[in-house]
Order: sequence, then structure tokens, then C-alpha cells
Amino acid sequence: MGLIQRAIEAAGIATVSVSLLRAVTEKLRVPRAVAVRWPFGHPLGEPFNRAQQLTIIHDALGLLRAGRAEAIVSLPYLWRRHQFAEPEDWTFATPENLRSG
Amino acid sequence: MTRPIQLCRVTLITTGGIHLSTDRPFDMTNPRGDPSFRGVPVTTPVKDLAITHDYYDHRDADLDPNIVFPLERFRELARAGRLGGLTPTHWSFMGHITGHLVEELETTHIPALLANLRREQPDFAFLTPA
Repeated sequence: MGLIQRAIEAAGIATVSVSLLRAVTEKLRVPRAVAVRWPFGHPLGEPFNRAQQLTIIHDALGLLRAGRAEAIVSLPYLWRRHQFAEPEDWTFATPENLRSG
Repeated sequence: MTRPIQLCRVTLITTGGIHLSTDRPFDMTNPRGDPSFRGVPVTTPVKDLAITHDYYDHRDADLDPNIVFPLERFRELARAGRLGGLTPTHWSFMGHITGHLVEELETTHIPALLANLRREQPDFAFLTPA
């Protein structure tokens, strides 16, 4: 997926991805990614868990808005150990809104 | 990105082998994979999506494709005004590609994807692996 992401970014379209394997994503030098340590097939989490899915999207959009290049942010959420609440602030007015960095 | 997310148009891209259930499945007979991609119209009900990918356990994603391809979540964000919108089409590859098919991906399919993106003009792409 790194190839595809880099090609899109090179074409002038900003990109952000979800990584399930931070070490591999680092080697691929993708423009921007949020990394989770979750099972394959679950980049946004568990089925029908809207709050979880929205949290990952929220944090990815925050990274995108922050604009740093070649940034990989490891998200702190443990698989099936984190109680997710639906994110409320989607304005990303300040890049510091990122929950982790 | 300097443009506020509320004004931005997203395009989704996954390597999770998602496609319309009526579309041609990815080729699982070639051990080197299938470097082609499929388009998914933005209005597609998730029940009309299928997954052809033998290299990861997609039983959960079969139940809720949003965990790999969050089309419904992004549609909700756009409806709520938290996002500018979505492109007319979203995109899916089968992410297990090796050997000479990587070259075919780079020389044929990625340029075709970029041509589509130039037409649909997303402000950003959100990419998910499987």
C-alpha cells in the first residue's frame, strides 16, 4: 500500500493511512500514517463499533490537518481493552488536538 | 493540509480486496496476486460489498466492511457537516502483490488510479490496509 500512497501524494493529493505494522510502514516511508497494534483485517477496529471506527478516522484526520510529512503516529488504544467514545470535536482548529504524538 | 477538513473531499482507498458483489472478483488463482483495482460508487449500500482476498481473515469485515473500508462512517461525517464530502467513486486493491505484478501495478494500475483521481478531484485520500 505504501507504493500507492506515495504515488498519490506525489500527484499532489494529501494522504493519510492506517498502519497495522508500524515497522513495515516506516520502511515504506509513507507520507502520513496512524498506527495501531490490532489484528490484520481490522484497521478501524471491531465490527459495528462506530465510536472506535470514528476515533481512528478522527485521529487520522488530525494528523492530516497537522500536515507533517513522513509522520507515523502510534495510537494508544489497546485491542479490546479501550472503551471508545465518539469524538466530539471535528474542527481540528489546532493541530495540538491530536490525542497522541 | 491547510484547507479545513470541513471543506475537504475525501477518496477512500483500501488494499482489503473489497468490491461490489456484482463486480469481477480479484484473481486468487495467481499466487503473485492481482494488481488491478475496482471502483465502488459512493452511494453503495455496504450490504452490496464483497471481499475477495485469501490472505487475511475477513470474517469480521464481511460482517461490517466499515472496519476495512469505512464508507458509511465517512458518509455520516459528510452529512453531519464535519467533512466537505466524498468523491463519486472509492477504490479497492487486493494488497497481496509480488514479483513482476508489482511492476504492472506501478506502470499500469497506479497511473489509471491517478487518472481517476484527477477527474474526481479529492482533497485527500484515506488509505486502509487489511
